[in-house]
Amino acid sequence: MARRLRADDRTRLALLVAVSAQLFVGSPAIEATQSSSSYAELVSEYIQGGAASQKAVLDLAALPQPKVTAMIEADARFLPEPRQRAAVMLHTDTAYAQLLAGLTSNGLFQIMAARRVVAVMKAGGRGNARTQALERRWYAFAVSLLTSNADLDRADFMVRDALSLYPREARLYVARGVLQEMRIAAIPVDQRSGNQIARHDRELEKAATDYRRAIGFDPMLANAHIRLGWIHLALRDSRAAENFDQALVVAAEPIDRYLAHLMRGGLAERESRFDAALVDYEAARAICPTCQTPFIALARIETALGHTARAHEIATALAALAERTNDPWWDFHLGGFDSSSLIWLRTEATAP
Amino acid sequence: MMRTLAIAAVIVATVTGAAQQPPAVFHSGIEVVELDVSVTRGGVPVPGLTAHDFALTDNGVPQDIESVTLDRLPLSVTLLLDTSTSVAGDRLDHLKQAGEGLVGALRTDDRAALVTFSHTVELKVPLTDDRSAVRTALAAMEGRGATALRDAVQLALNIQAHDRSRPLILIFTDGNDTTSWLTEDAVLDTARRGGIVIHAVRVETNRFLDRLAELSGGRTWSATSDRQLRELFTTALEEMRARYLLTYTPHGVNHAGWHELKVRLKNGRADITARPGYFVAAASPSAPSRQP
Repeated sequence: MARRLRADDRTRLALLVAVSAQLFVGSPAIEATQSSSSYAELVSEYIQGGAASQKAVLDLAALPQPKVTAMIEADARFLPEPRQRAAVMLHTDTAYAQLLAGLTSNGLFQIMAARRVVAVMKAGGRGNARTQALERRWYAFAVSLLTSNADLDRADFMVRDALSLYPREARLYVARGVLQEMRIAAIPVDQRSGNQIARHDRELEKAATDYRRAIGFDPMLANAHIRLGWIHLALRDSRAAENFDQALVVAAEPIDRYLAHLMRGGLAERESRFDAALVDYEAARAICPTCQTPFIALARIETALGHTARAHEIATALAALAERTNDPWWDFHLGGFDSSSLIWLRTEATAP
Repeated sequence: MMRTLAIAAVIVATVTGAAQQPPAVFHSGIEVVELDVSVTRGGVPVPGLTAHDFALTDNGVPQDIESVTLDRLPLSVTLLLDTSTSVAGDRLDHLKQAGEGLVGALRTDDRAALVTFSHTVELKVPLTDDRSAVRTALAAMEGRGATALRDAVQLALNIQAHDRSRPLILIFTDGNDTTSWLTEDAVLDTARRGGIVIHAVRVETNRFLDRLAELSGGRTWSATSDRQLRELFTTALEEMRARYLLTYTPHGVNHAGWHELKVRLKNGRADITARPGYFVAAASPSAPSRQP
């Protein structure tokens, strides 16, 4: 058993190296080293981006947890504010890489470490608007990270905590709604049982309430419109179309426009409006030509229309793709991993 | 519950040109229908049957069976294998061995393709008679990610080449779908239209797979242990070989839509497994009229 565990650990460490290289796109995979860096040096390294960021993540991951805790206690409060923001994201990216590599307990430790640095920032009197913005966005991301990792209880604890601090933060309501959806998804529903279906729908409605609240606080939050539309679609509520249309009006990011088109296509497909579905699925594919789902959806519609040669052509095109982009549908469906916030946080962490 | 975290990536908005629509081919009626039929007694294939032994109705109208062949045409086997996180470890090793065993049992003129799926669906090896290419790809499989079974089945059905070989899709999965875009009903409809036999080896009860196999005229097997996978893969191949291929030219039923098929032996009893029907598209741009 011990040998087996060591083999697993080696595999996971190798995976950690690989995923950390992917996190910092373009940086070559490097080996973890036994770091003697100080906390300030690690943060400086992280800010540089690319391979240096990856090295900082691996070096931090290699440190014993008590040492990391001691570093934060001793050094975090003396860092200049921009470096503190970077420190938050150094721990967060380390957590992300560790969770991807299956090093769950280590990842959870790093999330809590990031939270501790956030607390240090506030305790140091840096409760300015920028710090608060970072904190709000960080909480939303951290909840999504935990939810995506199926750690629903911790996600629940964190979102309650965050909402007590920021009760008007729209993204936190979205995060709580997604958490609710994940809880529901874990409960099997017997489609022959009217009671079970009714209970399932009531629980889904709770998530919808959170999305409506999010839209109330921030009508420009496209993700909330998309999420609400998806629930309406599941509940066969005719307001779904309006939600997806509105999402397309306010969506500023390609990920949101992609999802809105995909789901509006799904709505059209469900209503057997196949030509309309084709238009939206093609729009999704135009936004992300290397995402899998539009190809699959288009092939299915062409099949339903009896266009088997066209369906074959689309499937063959998907099979021939040299590169696949991470499909936002997967993140949406598997816990709402908030990649937009991650990107925002990383940018903020490396800004002066 | 299996979850996956994915690498965050920014999607760059790129407008690509629409793909060229292929030349339209319009229906002029169904010419020939081919039907794979398994005939067993007590689980043992019944040999030596001829066209005179079968009775077949198409939407209730008796049809004249023109030919019955057994084990003559080459097989085109698409292995559709689950490589999600739950498969990683010993199970994956046994899965690789099972795939190897199947490849080893193919005949000279048979071909094989390998499609793997986790949350991504990948055509690892297109249909080929190059056994080493399939073996190499099998050996390189890794278990990681969530499960998009329904999307994978859709792709596997759509990439099938229509030629004179007998297509078979052999699915292995050890869990339930977690990430597919498509619904069960959508994929079942595709399978109904495809007319391709789908066999499945599963570890857990999977209602979707059972329905999929049933409406494609295939079968499902439950693996009680990972060691059993190799045996079941080979059994699935042998089952396909032991099938009769019935061909007939439909008469009295020349219309679009679903055609329900019923097959029985004129004399004697046997267990007959065949797809329950086939689908004819309405007059619109479509595939050639020959039904696989």
